[in-house]
Amino acid sequence: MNQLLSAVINGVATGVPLFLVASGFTLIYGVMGVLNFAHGAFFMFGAYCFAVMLAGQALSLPLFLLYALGAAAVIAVLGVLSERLVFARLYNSGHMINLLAAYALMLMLIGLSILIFGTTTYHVPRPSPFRGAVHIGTVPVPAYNLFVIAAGLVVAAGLWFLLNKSGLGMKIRAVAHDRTTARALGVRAPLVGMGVFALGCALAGLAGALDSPMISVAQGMDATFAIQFFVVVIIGGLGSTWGALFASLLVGLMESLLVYYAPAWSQYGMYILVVFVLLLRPQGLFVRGPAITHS
Amino acid sequence: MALVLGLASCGGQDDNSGESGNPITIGVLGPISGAFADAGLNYRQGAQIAADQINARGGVLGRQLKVEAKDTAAGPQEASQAVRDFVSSGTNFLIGELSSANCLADAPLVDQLDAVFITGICSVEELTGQAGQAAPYSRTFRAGATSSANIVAMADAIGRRFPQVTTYDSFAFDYVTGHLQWDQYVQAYADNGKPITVGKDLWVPMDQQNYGSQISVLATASTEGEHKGLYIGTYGAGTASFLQQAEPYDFLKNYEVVVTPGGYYPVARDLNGSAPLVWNGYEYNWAAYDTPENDAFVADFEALAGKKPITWSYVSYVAVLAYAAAIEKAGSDSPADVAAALAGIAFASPQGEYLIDAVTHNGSANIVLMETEGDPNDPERVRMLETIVIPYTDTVTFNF
Amino acid sequence: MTARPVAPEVPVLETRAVSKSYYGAPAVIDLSVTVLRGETLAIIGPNGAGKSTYFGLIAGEHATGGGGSILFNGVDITHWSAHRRAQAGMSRTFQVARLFTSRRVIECLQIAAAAKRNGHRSCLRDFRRFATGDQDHIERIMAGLGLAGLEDVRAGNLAQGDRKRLELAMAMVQRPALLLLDEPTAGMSTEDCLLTVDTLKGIQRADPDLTIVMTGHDMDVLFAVARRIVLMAEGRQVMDGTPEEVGSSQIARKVYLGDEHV
Repeated sequence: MNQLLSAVINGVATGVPLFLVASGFTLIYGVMGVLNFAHGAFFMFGAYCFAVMLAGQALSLPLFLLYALGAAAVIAVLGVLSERLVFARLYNSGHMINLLAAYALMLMLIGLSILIFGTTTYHVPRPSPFRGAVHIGTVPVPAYNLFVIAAGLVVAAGLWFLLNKSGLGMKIRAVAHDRTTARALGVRAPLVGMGVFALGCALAGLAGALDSPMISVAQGMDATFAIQFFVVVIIGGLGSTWGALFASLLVGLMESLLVYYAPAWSQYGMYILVVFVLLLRPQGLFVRGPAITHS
Repeated sequence: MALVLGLASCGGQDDNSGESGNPITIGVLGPISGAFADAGLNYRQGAQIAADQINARGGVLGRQLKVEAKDTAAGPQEASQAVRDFVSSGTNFLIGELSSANCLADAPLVDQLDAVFITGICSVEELTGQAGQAAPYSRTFRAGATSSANIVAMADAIGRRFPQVTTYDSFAFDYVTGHLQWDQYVQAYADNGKPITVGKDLWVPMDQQNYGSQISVLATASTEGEHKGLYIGTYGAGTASFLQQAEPYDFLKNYEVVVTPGGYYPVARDLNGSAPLVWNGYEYNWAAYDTPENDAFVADFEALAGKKPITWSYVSYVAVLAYAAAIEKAGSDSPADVAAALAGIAFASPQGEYLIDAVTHNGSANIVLMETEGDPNDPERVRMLETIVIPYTDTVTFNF
Repeated sequence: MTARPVAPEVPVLETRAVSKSYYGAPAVIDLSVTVLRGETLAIIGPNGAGKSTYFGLIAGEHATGGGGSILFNGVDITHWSAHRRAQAGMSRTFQVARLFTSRRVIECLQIAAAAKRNGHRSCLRDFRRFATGDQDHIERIMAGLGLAGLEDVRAGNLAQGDRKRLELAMAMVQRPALLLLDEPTAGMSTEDCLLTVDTLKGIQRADPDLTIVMTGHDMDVLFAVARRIVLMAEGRQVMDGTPEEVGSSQIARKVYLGDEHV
């Protein structure tokens, strides 16, 4: 029972940054039809920026959050630059060209990160209230994990509110449904697209910042994430934020539980799930209609 | 990526053969990008220091030494291509590599292409001759320790220092070398007549960074005062992640000794003062040798890199020293002559006289055992509590 | 832009000598037309006359080639993008109705209403709040266009006639100053066409200030609804008059049937 609780909390804590990254990715695809291959690189940049800002100090919670949002803002700007310079010209060029462009962007960002941040590993300390472990019954759980879960839920709620309850969200969804119709109705689709790209990248950057105390901020961290969030969008369905949340938690939990109950399977469990989803419901669990349609 | 490669291999192509006056280029193979980019950087820096020092003394055969690097992070394919690219541009003297898979791809290729290769870090035994047997590759040399020498030396020394620790938990990368090293460690205790029992042994995939589940298993598997040891079989970013994720549980204090084979100093340095106390065994630390050669190496390296040198820097440095000595001895820069000169060569190095065995192609690498912990007040944020040098001659007796 | 009152003598739409060529072949040549407030104009002509191109120039689908300008309520909109023109008060429908097929009818209308309402300053206003403000307006338009009772049907599941009507409703919900209708009865049954004629006449009655510009092939419908016809042939304007004048003219017959039949 002890281990189960620990594994569950760990799984959810792993799933949250995954959700933040995947939701940004799926939002960008849903609205702009672009598969942002470079998304993991934005995650890495967010973690690096955050690490550099903190310079190894353990901050108080408000400062920690402020810096994390600051890192997200920097990545949002980076996202806008990328969108303007790379994707804005390629909207009508088809999936293949966009994919190649995103891949090229990813390589550039990785090279840039080596130039700017070097090859050392950055250490990000947890904020001071959350350095130790909390005991739930007899089970020790790192306090920071609980914080990350809470932060993720707040962001998820904020995203839901933005998309479903605000004027901007309505425009975003209109452009996602049918770009031409939205434009005919007076929605400034290019501006909405840019805004969504910035938002998606900001989410990835925020995920990087929040995740950084738990993993090594170093070269190659984008790769470790990339596979996982692709899995998440396949399972949850491209374009669905709920799908991203559900699938992220599912992947995080599954990995965590498998490591405890069946370690030999822990690396493959994710892929088996992907196979099932692709066989039975290829568009993803939360998406209606055929797979990959975008006007 | 293109930017980085451009910067790393700036300096154009050069012809190694022919007239004096033309520089001799040393080709460095290693990861410049990816999770182990720090290794590639240290290889290049170590080699550069050697080249600078040698050039300041007039070079080799009156010619200057140049260092060029290529990225082999992507694996054996990329490594083979890098070897071909080096040789076709006239660079026949190669050093480096981190992964054994890459080394095993490079070694036969180097033989084929009339080049020479010195590795310091690839730990796989089959690259050179073992137990006195002849080297399998005529052009590959090892200026470093084998994995087994490292592990066995560690087991011996730790076993003697902590005789009451008879149970070990282990947390290691789930790959061939990871399993091999752990098995060797356990076996070494048995061979010494003091077998250890294995408590929990946990394996993690190399490309995964999330160890929460394993750590919580470990955290609840040990209590203070049990005379247990912990073996950490990860390295680099993996070890850093493990320690970072373990921090809130604060369970490392439950172990009487924490050991890791391979480098710990760079990890401790990156942990910015919060690194826990760990024993590790590898091939070098900057405080291991009190010689003028080592002082010069450390000073020059710090001037170039802004940090102290580590094992990765040292083995590259030694490899270039080896090439310089061999080229001088051979009196020519033809790869065949240089390879012949490398076999059985002796030259001065920070650890004293360094020898490369003529038959096995193994270098006289010492094993350096270190007790290290983080120190927020140190300029490098690391304090080295104890350093034990196990000379090569002692390690030879461990080999079966 | 629609908030500013415009003097009645300022034409709602004015094209001055607009031209458009495709790869050297001219599609529209030197077309100047002035449309006053409240007029209903239909642009007709045989296939290849250039009416679709001309319509596209007005709507902002294509850019004009060389010289010529388009003015909307006195403002030069020649280089404005389509969505900017929509924001300014030009709503349009398409030959194949463009809807949000995965959303329900009521949602399509709510989006259409809100899209217009929002400037980028009001980014974060609650969608539901202002949607209810528009609810009466939406309901009235639905009733007027025969869509009452279809609120919760998925737009993609509507019958053809209803789809065109929904599209028209989405345009009307935006309270346009100028309504552009591209083939308003394309693909419709005779019954639906008659219904559409009645609908459009109802719109004209309800909003006499609304200016309508239509194009299409269904002469019966266009002639019944429009009060002014512009006839195009080979890219040029050939005639401009009332439906009776154009319907009985020799020129029109010549354009449509060719010289021999006159």
